[in-house]
Amino acid sequence: MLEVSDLRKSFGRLTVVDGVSTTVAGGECLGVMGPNGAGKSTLFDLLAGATPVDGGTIRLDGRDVTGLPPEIRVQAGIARAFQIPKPFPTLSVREHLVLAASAGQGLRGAALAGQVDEALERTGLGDKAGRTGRELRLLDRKRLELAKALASGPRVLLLDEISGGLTEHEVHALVDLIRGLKSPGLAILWIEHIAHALKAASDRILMLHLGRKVIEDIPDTVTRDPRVRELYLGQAHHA
Amino acid sequence: MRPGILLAVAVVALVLLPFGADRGMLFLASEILVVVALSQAWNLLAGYGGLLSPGHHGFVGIGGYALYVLTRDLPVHPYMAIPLAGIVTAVLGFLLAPILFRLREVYFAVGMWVAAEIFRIVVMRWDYTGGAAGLPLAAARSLNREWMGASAYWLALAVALGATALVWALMRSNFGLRLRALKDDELAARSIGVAPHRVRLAVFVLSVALTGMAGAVSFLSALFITPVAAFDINWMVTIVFVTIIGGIGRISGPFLGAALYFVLRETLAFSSSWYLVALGATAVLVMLVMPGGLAGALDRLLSRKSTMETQP
Ligand SMILES: Nc1ncnc2c1ncn2[C@@H]1O[C@H](COP(=O)(O)OP(=O)(O)O)[C@@H](O)[C@H]1O
Ligand SMILES: [Mg+2]
Repeated sequence: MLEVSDLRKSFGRLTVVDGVSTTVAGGECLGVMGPNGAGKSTLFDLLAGATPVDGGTIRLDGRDVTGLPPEIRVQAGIARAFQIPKPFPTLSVREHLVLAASAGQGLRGAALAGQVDEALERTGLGDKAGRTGRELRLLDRKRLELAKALASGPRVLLLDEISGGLTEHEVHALVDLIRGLKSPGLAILWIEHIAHALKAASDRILMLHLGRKVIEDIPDTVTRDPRVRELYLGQAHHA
Repeated sequence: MRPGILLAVAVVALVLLPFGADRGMLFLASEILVVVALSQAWNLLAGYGGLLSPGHHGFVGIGGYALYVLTRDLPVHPYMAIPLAGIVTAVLGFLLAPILFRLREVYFAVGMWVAAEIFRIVVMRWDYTGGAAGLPLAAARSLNREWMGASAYWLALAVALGATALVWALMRSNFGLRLRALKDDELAARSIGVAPHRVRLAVFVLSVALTGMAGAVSFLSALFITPVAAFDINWMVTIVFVTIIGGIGRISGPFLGAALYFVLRETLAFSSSWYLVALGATAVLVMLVMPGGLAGALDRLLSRKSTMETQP
């Protein structure tokens, strides 16, 4: 589904993504870990087209999408939930999703309404459909990020730290939600710091450090890897 | 249902106005409606689309000239030429858009200004458009003199109400959602599939088309057009003043702003040098005291009244 090869990005002299390659197939969830500043969000910026790449290619179902602007990538099926939510202050929650389903996937009428309702229900925003973006609390803004991405009919779903602020119980619900999303037509990439949640939902985990891939393997192998324990889990224990 | 009835009564009263008003009043009313239409068109682009254009007077002039040239060279009735003038300005806007949209922010504004200047210079130098001397309305014969004032008024009313209805319907449509989303946060909008260029191109073309039609209506009853009058910068001053005073990005803004503008103009009878100073001072004052313009102040007043009513 998604093939990434030798992706590079620098800001001035700082290399933030340094030759990252991976593939994610339909039905798979790739967990992405790494300390703060590792380049995880920037990697998603490149995949979603928010920032142009300095090198490398991104293919979706074999089609090269590396040079396409973000709106065309969404229409092609690469949807993204931002780490820092970007709600539209004056639009209602439902309007956000109507827009995502119509502009992102070209849906109309009953198909559109169905997709919007499903995204509302999946993310638990049903009773807040009439609220405007401005009125939402952080937690609901995070949910709205996920709902927007779902409503745009994704083939590749990029989730960037969507569990921030959730209780232990809610994190479990989120893991169930992501597992429930898995289907042959969808590839998921999920950036998260909560190791057990990522382990529970992912088929593989990719560890990023200073823009480079440290390891990419099945969750058990990755979490047992000494480099990972030192870099990331160790750091998490100190925090 | 009550606002709906009120609106219907107001529209009927406006339609019937020519039967109860003298020529001078009718002329003034037409002028006001043209300004409402122009302000609505500019507000669509600036208030909803987020693109500030200081060059819309160029399209007022093109609309006016389109009416004069079309009715001179083709067998079209002047009234029919008004929507055609809208099409002419729309096509011109569509052709210019790729250049203008390559320029962002302040450069778009400069580009619009330059475009308006170029329109004026070309029209002034070109024999086909009558040069600096201007053109008479060749089709004046086909107009009924007795109903001339009333017809011009009805056309102005149609364009003003049509522009308002269009903005109203647009903002309730899926297209309106795209526009609002882009204005709120462009990256977030693009990240759910909204194509910014297509949306901006559409509002731009609509805005200049409405501007051209309003320009054509405005010059119809003059029976003569000159480059100086058609491309007068005062159009722009009036449009910006009315829109800002009325409340940018609000559909009632152009009506409230035009009302205040004409009250000021008619009662204070400024000498021309103090006129601009007074307009500028009023605009700055309104921006400082009422950021949402008259429409915003009215909203706050009404909502305060309704909260007082619900809280005994
Ligand atoms: N637009 C930018 N300009 C300059 N530096 C940036 C920009 N975006 C991110 N960075 C830098 O790139 C590094 C990686 O950031 P990011 O991808 O957000 O990391 P992560 O999501 O893994 O925490 C950080 O050092 C950050 O300061
Ligand atoms: Mg990040």
